[in-house]
Amino acid sequence: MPRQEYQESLSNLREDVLYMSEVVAERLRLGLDALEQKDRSTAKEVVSGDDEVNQMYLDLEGECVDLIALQQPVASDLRFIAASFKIITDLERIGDLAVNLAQYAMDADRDVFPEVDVQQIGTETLDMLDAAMAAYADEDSEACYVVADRDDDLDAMCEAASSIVVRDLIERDPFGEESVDAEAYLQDISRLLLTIRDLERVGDHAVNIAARALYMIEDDAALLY
Amino acid sequence: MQQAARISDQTAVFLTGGELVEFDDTQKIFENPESQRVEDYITGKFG
Repeated sequence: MPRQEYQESLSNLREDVLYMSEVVAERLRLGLDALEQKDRSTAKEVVSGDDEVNQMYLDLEGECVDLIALQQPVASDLRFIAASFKIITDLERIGDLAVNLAQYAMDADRDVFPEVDVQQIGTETLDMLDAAMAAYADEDSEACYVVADRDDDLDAMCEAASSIVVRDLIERDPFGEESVDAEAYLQDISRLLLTIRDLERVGDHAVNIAARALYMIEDDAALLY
Repeated sequence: MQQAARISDQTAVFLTGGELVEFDDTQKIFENPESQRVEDYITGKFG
């Protein structure tokens, strides 16, 4: 087959991007576990593992640039490389957000607002990431739209969770209660709101990945912006 | 082929036997051609 080495390079790039996504999803899963169990050891593992994710990102970026410079890809090959180039950026950012979760876990020693189900939101973001990467791997355009639709549900979950916290602050005014350590309470609710925001952003990155996959499959920019 | 991509506005792809397989804007031909044979040719899978 002509350009066999080139075809192998494309195949390797696909496998490497999928491997990076597995590593990042695992970091996100560990970050959520660390939050749930207040497990500092797991949290430290996620923080220290970020260097590996960053190095993967740089290596894959190099692979993409080399392919563009040396092979002048066109058509579906070009769209695949361009999509992969963008997807690894989203994966690297999700890795950073997993580190944020781990840092919140290291700072937290109690649960405030147990009625806010962070794990349920986290599970939804993980599922969206898995679905977006499956759409990329399987070249499934319908699945790309499904991921985008799921983001509306995730946004609603995040908004409802944030509302619980904000409404309590307004209606109960916990800072007026003598038994409440205002400084610690403020840190707790800030951490919770940041956790919700970061998980919502993971969902946004999953949609970005689905959008790039759709561009790769069909040259369709429908989900890009 | 890369020269055609750089300098032309429109591209016609003639394959085996001189058959005109596809004619379109150069951007379309090189980014998302209609014909699988054109796709395979310009990505180097044959020819």
